[in-house]
Amino acid sequence: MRARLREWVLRIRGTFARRNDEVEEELRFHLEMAEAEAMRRGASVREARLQAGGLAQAAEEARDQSAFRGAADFLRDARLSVRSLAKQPQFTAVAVISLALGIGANTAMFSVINAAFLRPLRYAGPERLISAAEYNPKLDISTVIMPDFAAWKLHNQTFEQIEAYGRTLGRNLTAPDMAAERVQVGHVTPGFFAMLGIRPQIGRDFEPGESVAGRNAVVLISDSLWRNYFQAQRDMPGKGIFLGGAPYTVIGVMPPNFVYPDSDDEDQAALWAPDAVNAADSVPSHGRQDVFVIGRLKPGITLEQARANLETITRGMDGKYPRPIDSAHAASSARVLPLQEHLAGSYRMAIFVLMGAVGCILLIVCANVANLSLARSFAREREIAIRAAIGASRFRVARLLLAESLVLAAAGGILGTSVAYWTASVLGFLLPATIPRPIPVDLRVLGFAAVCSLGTAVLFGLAPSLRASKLDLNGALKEGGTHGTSRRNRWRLRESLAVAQLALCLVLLVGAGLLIRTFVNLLSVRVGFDPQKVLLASLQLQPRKLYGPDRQRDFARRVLGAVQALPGIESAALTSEPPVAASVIFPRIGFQVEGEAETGAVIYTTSVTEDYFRVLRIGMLQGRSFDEGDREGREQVIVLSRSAARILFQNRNPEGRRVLEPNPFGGQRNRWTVVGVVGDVRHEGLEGAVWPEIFRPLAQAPAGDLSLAVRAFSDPSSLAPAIRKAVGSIDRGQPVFGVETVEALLSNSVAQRRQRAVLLGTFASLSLLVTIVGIYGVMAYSVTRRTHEIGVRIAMGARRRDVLTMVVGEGLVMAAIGVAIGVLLSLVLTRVLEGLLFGLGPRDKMTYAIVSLVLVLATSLASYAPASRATRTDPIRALRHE
Amino acid sequence: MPNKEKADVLQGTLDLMILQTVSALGPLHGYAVAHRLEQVSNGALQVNMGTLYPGLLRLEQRGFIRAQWKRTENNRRARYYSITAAGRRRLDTEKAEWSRMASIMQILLLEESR
Repeated sequence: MRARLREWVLRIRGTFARRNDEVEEELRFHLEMAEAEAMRRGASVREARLQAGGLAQAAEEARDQSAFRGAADFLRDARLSVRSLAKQPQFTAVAVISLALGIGANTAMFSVINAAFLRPLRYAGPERLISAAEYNPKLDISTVIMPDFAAWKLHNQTFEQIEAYGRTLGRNLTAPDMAAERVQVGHVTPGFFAMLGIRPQIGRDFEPGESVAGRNAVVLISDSLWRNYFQAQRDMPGKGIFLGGAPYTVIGVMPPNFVYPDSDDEDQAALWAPDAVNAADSVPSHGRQDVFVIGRLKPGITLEQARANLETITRGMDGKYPRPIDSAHAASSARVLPLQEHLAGSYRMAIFVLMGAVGCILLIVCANVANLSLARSFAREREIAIRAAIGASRFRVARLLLAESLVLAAAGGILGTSVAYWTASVLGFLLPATIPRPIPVDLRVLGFAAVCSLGTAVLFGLAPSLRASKLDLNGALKEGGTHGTSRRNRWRLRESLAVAQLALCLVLLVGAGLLIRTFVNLLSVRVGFDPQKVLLASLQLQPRKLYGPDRQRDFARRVLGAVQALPGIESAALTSEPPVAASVIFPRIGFQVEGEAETGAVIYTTSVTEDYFRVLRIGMLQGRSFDEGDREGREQVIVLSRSAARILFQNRNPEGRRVLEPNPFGGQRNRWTVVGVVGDVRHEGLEGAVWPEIFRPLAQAPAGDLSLAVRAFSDPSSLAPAIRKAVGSIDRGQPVFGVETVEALLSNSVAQRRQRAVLLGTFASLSLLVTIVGIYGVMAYSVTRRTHEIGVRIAMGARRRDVLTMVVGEGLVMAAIGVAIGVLLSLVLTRVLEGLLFGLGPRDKMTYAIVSLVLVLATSLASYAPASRATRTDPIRALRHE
Repeated sequence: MPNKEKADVLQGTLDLMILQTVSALGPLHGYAVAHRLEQVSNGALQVNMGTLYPGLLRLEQRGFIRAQWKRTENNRRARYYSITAAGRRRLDTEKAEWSRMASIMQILLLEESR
């Protein structure tokens, strides 16, 4: 075998090494020499030529030696295959289309994996870039606190460079003579961009030491901010701007398409400031500063060495400064991941689940085409037997059938790859923003498609080929291939293929079912208010120093007045925390009912204007809402949410009772009187928990972070420009941001889940379709083959129902076995879906039941058509069939 | 298929003959090889092109000889074949094998019949 392979390799090399004209030139030289010799000796030239042999013949023989003779044979086989496939367009179409689906889906998914994990990141020396964190397995969180990072930077021996970045933070951007704009600001250590090998397209990078207070009022801006907001001014560096009211100098513009590592689409940084420590006013008094750490390993250092190094440094710092969750921190340990892996992090799961799904589809398709080809090869037994009888070797016959498989797979592969080429860009939502779009279909992806097609051909082509090469000539020729008697073992193969299809299909259907039910569960979550026709818009009064409580109150009153005066508005209110789209805020601990023991209740506080509950149509359960009279200086009143009331008062009546506000600084505590109770509202999308909430009148508890909630008479999104204008007329420096209808917010909050459910649902439906076609094929073939038998049965008095029951029964037996195996497989496999589900477990009985039922129904439908055809068998004709 | 059988037997020996010729006389073009074979066999061995060139090609593909286009004394382009190190090793083993075989045949055909 090896020697043979070597021979082929040599032949192929020979083909390339020498071209035909070279061979001819050499031979002509030989002839001329022979003729010259003959003439010198005085012999006949003709004689000499004869003796040397024919030129054409010799050239042919030399060529035969050189050319890959197998290739010629194979081409002949392929031509033959194309001809015979063209004769059965139905079979060919079904096979090619299902192969195209299978290969296309796999290639498209692979292009996603390729983009996420295999293509090098677009940073300098990407292979040595890592992400480092302290991972706490108990809490499943990765954090690095600033002092730990400082220690790492100072003491490590394993990194060429190690830098950090913080979360992006929203800021109001104002510049002389320009409208205010809400932007996200990223915070990085000064060497961050240099380490990634990214240089500003205009201006300069941060300099070392520029993170020090007093020098850190410099920013780099993103290309899109530069183009869209600053109209691409060339003299950008040196320009002064204000962020949250504080002055900054722009020093440069980052290149286009540079995306801050790790950021989601909605809060991509538009500017970067040179430190990772600047979050003082958004995370009040939490005493900790999380950063994300990226480093470049020294050459030759392994991940494990780097990890151990960081771990040692962290442990050395124990006790030198407080850590946020000191007790839990003991369980943490340093974790070092290749940057690429880290970036794809949370997307990994869904990507691999979907890859598994498309793998399943490909297997189903293989089984399907194998079954179809088997049926076809049975029908061709006679042809094959004749070929074998007139001297074709087993190898030759098997090769012919394999050639057909290859032709089919190649057609499917080419079609599938072009499908993948167009769909790859649609799958962008599966990837984080850091990965450049569109998803490329590169050589690796094409290679995968080729391997996939080839593998498929072998998978589905092997069974028919092997069978054909073992064909019993005598039997096949005698039988004529119309009504087999040796049905038994052939059936077993075809049946098991169909059962395998059913089982895999069930796995996919269960997966899709679970995701779809997850999505339905989410949609049926009650948000606690009427989301229709409500528009939200946010404001953040900056700089904070200038906007004290009085100015906040004043601003709120004027904004609300201006907005309420707009046409098309039914009602409007202000709140410090918008429903559904809450920002990261922290609950307060220690609210206490006056005269009762402190229980450590954890409750969120929200300041709202009088109409808030009316605007959102939050149900008043008890007591009254706020009114004009609940102003500054009057009795301080609160409205509790249902869950807050339960936490503080259990089942007692809260109305008229007093609640003490916690005071972290000790001393005097504010006293609030409960005047009413309202229903619970969801703040963190549909998946988030319900917050226990205490509502206070905005006038009595003013806030700088405000959201407008506006109920419109008709389409609320049309109000956005008017609202921006109204707010701008009051204070130019306060940009309105996050203008969005509640319905859009709700729909966005489940968008990713919807997309995944739709995608897996599509995959599952495709596989169901392919499976039904497969079952139909099996049954139809079986019926045709048994025409004679069925004819006999009918002649002997079998009724229509008996025949129907017999055939459909066979289908149902397959379905039952397939479902049983599929359920077992699903129970094992769907466990990986756990993290993607909401409101149900991976073993949800309902899903399994529905899916199994669907599959059984589909199978009986698929076998009913052939069965009913069987009942119409005319016994006379069937028997004459002999 | 007597023809084919004969060709097969010849193939092995032809390869050996070509190898030996190329090895002994250095770079030679195809015609020179044929000429030489004819010469040493006193005309008994007449190799036609259809046998010779596939043989040369075969040996070249197996890496036993290597070919180069060169100019002849008459300034004609011709492909010159020379033996490679692998070819030399092959020639040695083939030669040994041939002698062994020949002596066996000798014993079998001549001495047994006595």
